[in-house]
Order: sequence, then structure tokens, then C-alpha cells
Amino acid sequence: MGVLSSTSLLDRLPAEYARGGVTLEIGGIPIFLRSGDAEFCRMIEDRYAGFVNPFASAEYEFEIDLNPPSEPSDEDARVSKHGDVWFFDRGDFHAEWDARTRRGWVRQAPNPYAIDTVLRIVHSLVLAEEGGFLLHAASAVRSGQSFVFTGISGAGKTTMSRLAPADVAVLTDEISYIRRRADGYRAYGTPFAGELARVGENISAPFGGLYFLEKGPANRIEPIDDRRAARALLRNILFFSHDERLVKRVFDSAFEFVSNVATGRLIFTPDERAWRLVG
Amino acid sequence: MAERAAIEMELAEEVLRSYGRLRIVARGSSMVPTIFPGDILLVERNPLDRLRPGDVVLASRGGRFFAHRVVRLTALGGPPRVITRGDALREEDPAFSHQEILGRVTRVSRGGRFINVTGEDDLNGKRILQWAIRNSDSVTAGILWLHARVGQAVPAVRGSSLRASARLAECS
Repeated sequence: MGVLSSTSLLDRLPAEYARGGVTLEIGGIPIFLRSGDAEFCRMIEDRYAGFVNPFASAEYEFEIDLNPPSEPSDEDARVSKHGDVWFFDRGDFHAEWDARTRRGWVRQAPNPYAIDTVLRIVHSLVLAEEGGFLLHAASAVRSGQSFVFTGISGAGKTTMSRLAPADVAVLTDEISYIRRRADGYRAYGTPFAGELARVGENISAPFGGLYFLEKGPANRIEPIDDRRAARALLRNILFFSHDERLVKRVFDSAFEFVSNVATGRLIFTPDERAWRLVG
Repeated sequence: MAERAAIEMELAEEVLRSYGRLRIVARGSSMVPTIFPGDILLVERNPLDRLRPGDVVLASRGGRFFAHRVVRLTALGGPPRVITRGDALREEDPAFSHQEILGRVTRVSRGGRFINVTGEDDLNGKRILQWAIRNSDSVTAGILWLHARVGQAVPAVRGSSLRASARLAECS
């Protein structure tokens, strides 16, 4: 029996696909990476497997030009803005992005690290405008709510992810994705992996709690006041730009966030019993 | 017989298209231990752009329905396609086009209970069982035997506002 085209769940396919490339939907924001290089596209689809969504209509688009292979750069990315156009630079890439037209281009080595950084920068800028942010934190979903665990390097983000019990879906062990939606804050899974080198699950959930991790002799949660929470949070927000308006926006967002969500210090011994306090 | 099956499929697709929901009885063992033969699947028409790896979709091909789990989405070398695989199978299915995907399985009813088919509440034990099923026909046969022995008679669907044709979905 022939399948009726009218049964399709899409009115029409997104126009992007015909031009060659990959649509990555992270945090519910589809970004189309246009490239005629099949090997590069395959590498991107493999690396971001759970976040590839060719059925989504892209909200942003980047054209990728590939340079000859080179070593990934370990320097910090530089982000600047002239008029409406953002410029991102590092040893292994140069990118320009017009936030108004939502289009940009990237010239980079054919490795995944450059585009990974470009994506982090773009998402951080998009989120900043809407009151959200990327955070150096592990996050996970339990019982329909998301919980975020942040702290300094070595505080236990990877440990909490590794110890997550079977009923917990890990969103990320490295970079958490927080959006402010009409019905409150929401955490999303990200493909930005840390030590676990495991891509997070591409799901999201309403915000349940923000925990500042500290290792200690026993598992317990202690309260933290909003002022200290905001200060600790700001230390861990991932933001690349020095744009005065946006920096102020992120600063305000951090204070607004901690005053609207449950927060606490999670002092834990590195074993799975810490999860009994969560959710 | 083949014509009857085709008409039943057309009717089922029509119900899904018109009402947005369809109940369908599963058969076969390719989705064990998530879906057993006789389970009743509730299929809903969700926009494809909301499809995610881990979802179970109902697809139609060659006069048969398939209810398999999405492994990934891809557009490499052509139009967007959905790659699926039965939970009990080692091999992925040939890619489905967007026209062949009819809807998402949102709920499974078995013996009066509702079973979650998403990966969100997967237990480690279930993952180990899936691995064993995937790699041993004997384990699959044992699970099916146990399932039949425990007595999972499929009850009549009560309170349904749908009068969907309960054509069988292949999970084989």
C-alpha cells in the first residue's frame, strides 16, 4: 500500500536540508550548520548524535568553511562586537555572526572543537538576551524535575553525574543549559561533555533545585542566602563576551534566578548516597 | 487477505490523521522487553520536528506497521530520515522517510497497566535485560514464555473515545 503524503507529520521539509549540512537543536534552539563537506557533516552528526534534528526549521544558520587540518587551540576564545556583528576568534577558527539576521559564517579547521566552542558562544549570547545562561555545572532530571550541581573545578560535578542512580537522566556533566520560559526556569540536556565524555540526554524539565557542591564528611544540605548564591553562581556562568549591556543582563539574570529557584549547599561524600537528598 | 490488510491500514492511517490518536495492538517480539505481543499502543500524531532519539514511533512500509525506537535522525546524503531499531534487535532498520512516520507511541497498555516507553526511566536492570535479549534468541524466547505464563491477557480497551481499527503493528 502506498503511503499517503498527507499523513506526513510535517507540512513541508525544512528548506535547509537541501543545501547540505546539519541542524543541531540544543536547548530547543535549532541551528543549521551549512557545509558541503560530507566528512565534516558526518563527524558533526556523530558527535552530536542525540541533538541532530533535520526536521526542525533552523532559527540560526552558519556557513562553515574548512581550513586545512591543524592542531586544536588551547587559547581562550575572543569575542567582540561591531555594530550588529559579533566576531569570535581563536587560533583554530574565526567566526562572524550577525545577531539581527541570525546568520553567520565560520572558517575553521575540520575538527569538532572549533565548532563546539562557536556553538557555546552563540548559545551563551542567545540565552543572555532571554534571561538564561550556560553554567559550569552537572545537571540531571529526576521525577520530572531538573537539578543542577555547580561548583569549582573538583567540587564533584563529574562525580555526581557518575553516581547518578538508574532513575536519573543525566543532562550533562559539564555545561548546564538554563532557559527562562513563560512558566519558569527549565534545564536542558547538552552535548557539551566533560570528563565523562558522554553526551547528555536531549530532554528538558522544569527547574527543581540548584545545588552548590562541596565535599565533606557526611551528606547534608545546608541553606545558602541569595546574595552568596548569586555570587557563587556568577563565578560559574559561562560567558565569553565583554559587551557591557549583556554582561549587566547576565548579572541581573543570576540574581533573578537565585531569588526564584530553590538553592542550597550540597555537602557530600563521594558516594551514591548523596543522591538520596536530591529530588 | 492482502487487500483486507491494506484497507485496515488505510483506515488506521485515516483515524490517526483525522483524530490525532490511534490505538493499535502490537505483535512480534522486536521491542521486548518494552513492548510485548498483545500490548495496546496509543499512537499520537506529534510534529516530526519534536521527535527525539529514544522515542518509539509508528511507521508504515510495505503494507506493514512498525513500532520501533528512534536511534537517531539524519540528513546525511539526502533528505531527513529517521533511523529506528527494535529494542530486541541488533540491526537498525532501513531509514524511514518523513512520509513513512505516522506518529509517536506515547503509551503502552498491558494488563490494565500503563507502561512507559521512553528511555527516561530506564533502569540498569532493564538495560542489561535488553542487552541479553539482543544477543540471545533463547533469552527472548524465555522472556516471551514467562510473559505468557504470568498471564498478560490483553483486556478490552475501556473508556476509549476512539473507534480505531486495531490493526496489528509489527514488532517483529
